[in-house]
Formats: sequence, C-alpha cells, structure tokens
Amino acid sequence: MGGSGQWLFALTVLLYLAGAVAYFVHFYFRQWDRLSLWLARAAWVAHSLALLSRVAESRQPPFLTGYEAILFMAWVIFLNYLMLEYLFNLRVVGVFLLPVLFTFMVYAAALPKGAEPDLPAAEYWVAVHAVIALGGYAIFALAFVAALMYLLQERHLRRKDFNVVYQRLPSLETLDGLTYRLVVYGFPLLSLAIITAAIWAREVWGVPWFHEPKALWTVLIWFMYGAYIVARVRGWGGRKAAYLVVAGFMAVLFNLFVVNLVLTQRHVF
Amino acid sequence: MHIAVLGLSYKTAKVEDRGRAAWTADQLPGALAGLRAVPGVLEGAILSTCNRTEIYAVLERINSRDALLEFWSRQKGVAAKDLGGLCYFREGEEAAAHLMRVASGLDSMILGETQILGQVKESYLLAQDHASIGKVLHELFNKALACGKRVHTETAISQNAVSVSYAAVELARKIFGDLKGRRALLVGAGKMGGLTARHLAENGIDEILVSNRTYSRAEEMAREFGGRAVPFDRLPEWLSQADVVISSTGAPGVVITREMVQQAMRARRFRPLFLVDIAVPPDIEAAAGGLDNVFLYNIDDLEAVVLANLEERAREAQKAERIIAEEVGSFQFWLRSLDVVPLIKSLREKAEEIRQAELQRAFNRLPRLDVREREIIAGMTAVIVNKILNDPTVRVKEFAGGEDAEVYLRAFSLLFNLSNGFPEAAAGDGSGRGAGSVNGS
Repeated sequence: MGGSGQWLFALTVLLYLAGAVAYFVHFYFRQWDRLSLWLARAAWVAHSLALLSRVAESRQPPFLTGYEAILFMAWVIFLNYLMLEYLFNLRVVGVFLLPVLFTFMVYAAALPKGAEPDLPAAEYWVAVHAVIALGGYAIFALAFVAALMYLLQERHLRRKDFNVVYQRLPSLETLDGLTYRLVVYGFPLLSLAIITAAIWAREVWGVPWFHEPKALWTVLIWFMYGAYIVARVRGWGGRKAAYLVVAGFMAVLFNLFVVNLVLTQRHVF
Repeated sequence: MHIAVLGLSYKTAKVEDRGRAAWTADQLPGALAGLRAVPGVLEGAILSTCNRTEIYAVLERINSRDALLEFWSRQKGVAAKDLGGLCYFREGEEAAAHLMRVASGLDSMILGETQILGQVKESYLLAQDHASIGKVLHELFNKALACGKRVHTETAISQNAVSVSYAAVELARKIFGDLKGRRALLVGAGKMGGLTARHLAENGIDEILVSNRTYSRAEEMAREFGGRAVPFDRLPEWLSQADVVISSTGAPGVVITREMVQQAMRARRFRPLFLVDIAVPPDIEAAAGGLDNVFLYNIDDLEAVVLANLEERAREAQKAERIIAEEVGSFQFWLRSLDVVPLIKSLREKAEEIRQAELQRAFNRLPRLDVREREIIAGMTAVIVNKILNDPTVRVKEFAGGEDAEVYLRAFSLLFNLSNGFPEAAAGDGSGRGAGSVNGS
C-alpha cells in the first residue's frame, strides 16, 4: 500500500480511538456532545478514504486479503451503526461499538498488507458473495454489541447495582428488541451468502460446498442465529437468548480469524 | 441602583418559624404594595413557598438590610431581632445568583425539583400584576426562569426518581422501556403500593389489576385509579398475566412463593416479570428473584435507587452551577450596561449644550450669513462633536460590560465632569456590583 493509504489508515485508527474516548466521556460525564459526534463522522470519512485509496491502488474490490476484509467489514459495521444512530438516536451503542472497531483496526494493522490475492480469480461473483457475507456479519456485529449491552444491563438490574452505567444504558426491552431486529436483518444476508457459495463452489472449484471447513462453520453459525430467531418468535427471550447472539458472533469471529488462518485455503476471510 | 435579597428557607428556619414569617397568597398583594412603599425601595418582589420566603428588591443604596427587615417584621408582626436571626441577606451579583440557583432547584430540599420554577414564575407574574417591579427585576426574573429551564433541559438534574414509589416506576421503565401495553397487579392495600400503582397509571401502564383478601377493599382501590378488582384466591393466575407486580399486604408471612412465580413464568413464556415487594415483612419469597427474567426488588433496593439518583443529581448540579454562572454573567453584563446609558446620555447632552451655545455666539458675530451658510456651519459642528464623542461612547460601552466596570465608569464621569449621570459614583458608594457584599452582611 502506498504512502497516502498508510497515512489514511493510521488516521482512521487514531480517529476511532479518539471517537471511543469521546463517546465514553459523553456516555459517562455527559460532556463533549458535539465533539464525539464529529469525531465519529470524521473516523468514517477517513475510513472511507482509506478504503478508496486501497481500491485505487490495487484496482480490485477491497476484500481479497484478510487485511482488506477486516477493513471493509469494520467500514460496513460503522456505516450501519451511523444509520442506526441517525435514525434512532442510539448513541449509547456507539460507546460499546467504537472500542470493538478500534480493536478490529489494530488487528488489521498487524496483518500483512501488501499480499496479492492468491485466489484463482477475483471474479464478479466473488465480490457479490463477499459483500453479502460481510454485510451480514456487520449486522451481526451490531447485534452482538446490543446483546452485550443487554447482558450488562441485566446484570446491573439483577445485582441491584444502580451506578452510572445502569443509569445511562437503555431499558432491557429496547436492547432486546434492537438485538432481535438486527439478527432478523442479518439472517437473510447470511442465508444468501451460503446459498450463493453452495451454487458457485461447484462451478468454480468443482467440489461440493461441504468439503470446505469454512462453509461448515458458516452453516453452524446459520443454525445458531436461526435457533435464536425461532426461540424469539416463540416468546423465549432474555438472558439466554442474548448469550446465543454473543456465542453466534464469537463463532463468526472464529470463522473469520481462526478458520481462515489454520483450516482453509480457498477463503481469505 | 442595587439588587438585594432578604430571605429565609428550610436551611435557616424551622417549619413553625417559616410559617410565622410567610405571606399567604391573599396577603401577598398587600405585602407587595407595602414593600414598594418602603423608602429607598425602587422595585420589589416576594417569593413565598412552604420552604422559603424571600424578598427581592432593587434599592437606591447598599446596606439596606435593616430597611427590608423592618418592613418584614412590621408586616408579619415578628420581632425584627428574631426574624433577623433566621435570615440571609445577599446583594448585587450574589443576590442575582441566588435567585437563579433557587429557580433551578439547586437550593431546594430535593435537589433539582422543578416545582420551584413554577413558584418563581408565579411570584414574578404577581409582582408584575401589582406593578411592584421595574425593568431590573423584570430582567432578573426572566433570566432566572430561562436559567431554570436551561438547567432542566441541559442537565439530567431533574430526571431521576427521588421517591421510593417513583423509583419502582423508573425500574419498570428500565426493564420494559415503554409501559404501554403492560399490565400491573397490585396485591394488598398498603399506602405505598397504592401510590406506586398511581405513578404507574400516570406513566401510561395499560391496566391495573387489584387483588386483596378483602374483595370490597380491592374494588375500592381499583375505582381510585381506574383499575380492575380481581379475586385474591386466583392470585397465581393473575401473576402470569401481569408484567409488574406490586405487593404491599400486611400479611405476616410469604404471600407469593417461588413456586408460584416459577409457574407464572412458564405460563407467560418467560417474558420478563418485575416484582416489587414493599411490604415489611416481605410478601414475596426472596428466592423468586433468582429465576430467569424475574426481577425482584424490596423496599431496601428501592431506597438504594433513590440514593443513587440523588448522587446523580449532585453530579448534575455541578453542571448546573456552570450554567448559572453563565446566566449570572449575562445578567450582570446587562445590568452594568444600564449604568452606561445615562452616562452617555448626559455626555451627549452636555456636548450638545456646548455646541448650541458656541454656535449661537458665532452666529451673533457673523450676522450676514445666509441660511445655507448657517446650515453648513451647524452641520460641521455636529459632525465634529459626533466624531470626537464616537470613540469614547463605543469604548465605554465595552468597558461597562467587563471587569472593573465601576472604575471605568467613574473615571469616565469624572473626566467629562458629568455630575448627573452617575450619582452613586459621585457619592463614592460604588455601583453595587460586588462592593456591597463586602460590608453587606
């Protein structure tokens, strides 16, 4: 990656850190109201520019290496969050999301950046499949954050710990509903990603999809989120459901970071 | 011109003393007229609530505590010596800041309460109706009301519950968010339980079921807040239908067991259930609180909520103090700029007098000038005067709003020898800002 790309990436990471701090200060001390909003927006703009400069340089979609995939997914997550923030005024989610994004970016920084994609082809469908999958994961990431907030608030209510965090966090109902809605939006994307992969895997590699460990993991993830939705539809919610969403996203992370490095050759993410 | 407040509050006086010193609503018009008639009082307003009685006045001179005290003691028939011992007296900027703090609820018994804002407004409107206030108190009260509103909107000082019954509503909101579409069950006829149910109704809960061992009592309470009485012997059934259960029976033992709650949870498909036990001894088996999605709180827990909320209010109060400092600053700016207006006016008048006199002399010595020539000369002198006075006028307005305004204003009036514009300066008293508080109380 060239100089400007590196520079933009570093700026993005810094802005995420600054944004995380500012959101926390706003959350806890009710200060820096405007500042935190603008830092978050600036982080998103810097992030977008970093992605663009990457694309301009490689002339390929920005998710063919692990580094790019994380960069891209974090960008999609943040885009989704900003829409959420704008539509529902849920800035409190940002307090918990920004540190997660910052961690993503730091992790990405540790990955090799310059590697050329070793895929047979950066073809059109790969891009479609990747965008759908990453979009779904991005929404699950937000659901994960909402579920964590639910568990945190539930813990405060159960332990009768009425501290500042308790006072600032929204109601269980709000967090539970937010988690549910996000999973419901993310689930069709995940399903679509699996279906496209299953069909195209045969065409490209000539092997059935279940020969790929990554695909098996993904199906497991699909079952976890599917079970959550079924449970919720039948009225079963609360703490256990929230744990399921957390576990689901842990599986997503495992899929992205561990399965990739150790078990698979075909997927980069 | 000089603002002062003489008052007493729950902080300085016991309730019976406050009662003796307070004016009732129908006495207030007479009191305002009496206050206005006190020599040296230019404007006056009285704030009288059950927690405080305060006289706000604009006075001709500083150190008018005794005049106000004398008025008060005469009006209420309380010895000035006794009254004086209960009172606080603030002047100038401190008096202005005091009203702003009062209006914002920072001086209230329950920190951040909003009722006082309405009471300040009432006393302002009353004083206005009886023409006992002029432009200074008018501005001060308006600034104080705006300040109170700012504090309530810009800080969270008045957002959290500070009573046990309201704390239950707040907890319900932390669990269910909106109370719409939720059903409450009130078990027993305890006073606190009824109060909590009423708060729930006010906050939009859909339905309240009332259950009591004595069915007629349940019916009576149900009527009170538009609820529905249900038979006590089918309690487990109602338990599964309610989202919020408030129990305040006088029963000696447990009324709602863990077993009952567990069954209710199964019946309601484990949707969250919020149990409030305000009875002593407790009505609900403590172990029920360990069930999934069951949130059980007793009276001690509710008191812990109140305590935490009061701490939160105290934190917010610090932010409120900053807003108040801002508003006081802006009021003081306005007040100081009042001093400068007559000063500038008298400077202008003086200049105009000189100009006219000199013009007349010149015209007398040049009798052959025609109208047009006279006009040109008159115009020129006006321009000269205006150009010379322009800078001092602009500058003194700036100084008037800033620090050391008094020094500048006094220097200004001495330099131009303006006797009528700044009487207090001429008298050597200072203009009221700050100076009064030094030798005030």
